[in-house]
Amino acid sequence: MTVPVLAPPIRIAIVNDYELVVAGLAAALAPYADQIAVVELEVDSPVVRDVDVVLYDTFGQAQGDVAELDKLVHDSGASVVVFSWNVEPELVARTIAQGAAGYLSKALTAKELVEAIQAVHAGDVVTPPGVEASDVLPATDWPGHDVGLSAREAEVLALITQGYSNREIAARSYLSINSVKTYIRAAYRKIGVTRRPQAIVWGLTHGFDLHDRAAVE
Amino acid sequence: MEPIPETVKAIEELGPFTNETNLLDDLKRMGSEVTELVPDCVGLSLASAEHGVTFTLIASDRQLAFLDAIQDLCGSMEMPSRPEPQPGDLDQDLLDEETWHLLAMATAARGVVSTLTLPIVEDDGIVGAVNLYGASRQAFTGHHEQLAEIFGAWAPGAVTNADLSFSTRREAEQAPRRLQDESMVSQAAHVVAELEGVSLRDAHRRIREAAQRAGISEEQLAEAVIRLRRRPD
Repeated sequence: MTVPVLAPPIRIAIVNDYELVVAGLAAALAPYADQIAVVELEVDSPVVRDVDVVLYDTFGQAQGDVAELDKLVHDSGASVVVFSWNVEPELVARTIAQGAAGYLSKALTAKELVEAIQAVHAGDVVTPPGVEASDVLPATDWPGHDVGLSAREAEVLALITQGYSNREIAARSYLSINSVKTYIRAAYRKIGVTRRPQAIVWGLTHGFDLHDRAAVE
Repeated sequence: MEPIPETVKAIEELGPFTNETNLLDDLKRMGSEVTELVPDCVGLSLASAEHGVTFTLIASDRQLAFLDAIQDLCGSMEMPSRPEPQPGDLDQDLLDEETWHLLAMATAARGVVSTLTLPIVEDDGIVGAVNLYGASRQAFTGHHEQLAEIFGAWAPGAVTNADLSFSTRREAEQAPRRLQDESMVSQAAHVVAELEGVSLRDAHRRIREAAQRAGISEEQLAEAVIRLRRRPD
């Protein structure tokens, strides 16, 4: 009798500065533990364990051809997959050109995310099919979610908390300044502030952080 | 009139300052309405008490050149030339209002001969002020009510010629720096509050007092605190 040999789960590390974001993504993948083993959750520290795939959540992080991604690609030795709500084609292309093995939209369900990670692990370069990402992946979480901030509003607020100007936020997020200001207005309304220093204080007391990058030294 | 670069920077990079509309568009619209009513208005400043900053629009060089030409053409009839103030004038009568007026004019921004200040009142409190700058002495005469309406300001509280030196423009030039500094001090206060287990108000006070003792600005100390906080362990 032949005993079927099951493939071991793909070992992944989830990287983001925000514990809530990392934990939320790990929880979303937990039901698929036989296929995806989350072996490392990285908040503000380098990826140290031997993993197959690094899943880099862009919440509150720089996007595009930035040093953080470069370090992940070259230092981790794993396939790096970027996970973002921002699927601007130019941004996706630049990220892949920098060495990322995949670029996945946060519009994916957890099951689709698992399948995409498996495809990357098998050697495919996976990119979004050109569909605008929605704001919500139900199983994920982010700071400010509990007061009704959308992922994009929280993303912008995270960068304000870190001290970035609207122009810098626009550049890091591949958004127009007017879009950034629209997200700021919506976020301010939801958190009940009218001024930037108030928003910073709110952010720092509600799970946002001064840190500005995932550390993979 | 066009916003000065610092006003554009403050609103675009550190705004939005408004809940619904674009403040830059609002300012330009108000500027157009003012110049329609007062063609020789050469400057407009809007000070916000809530945000602690001033936004300024000024006439473009082209508008100023046009006004210069008009005044040149009509000057002998409507605007009799005034003697340039001399140092000796002060000795004649230190309390002579006309002397002070001439001196202020001599140092004023280009083209500013009269000003009108209008308070903006909401819920029985002053939430801001509008300053308008005219290229003729009677620029705003008879227009107080209509100008107040443009800005939602209070016409009976109007004050004339209070800012012939166009000091609000210098205020507006400081706006981006001031906003950035304020954000930085807020970040630093949070760091101090967290480290020392004190309230944000106490943290602000500690930063202020420590900066004074060290002979540096609050902003310099705040920047150092944030750098230390961000430094990898």
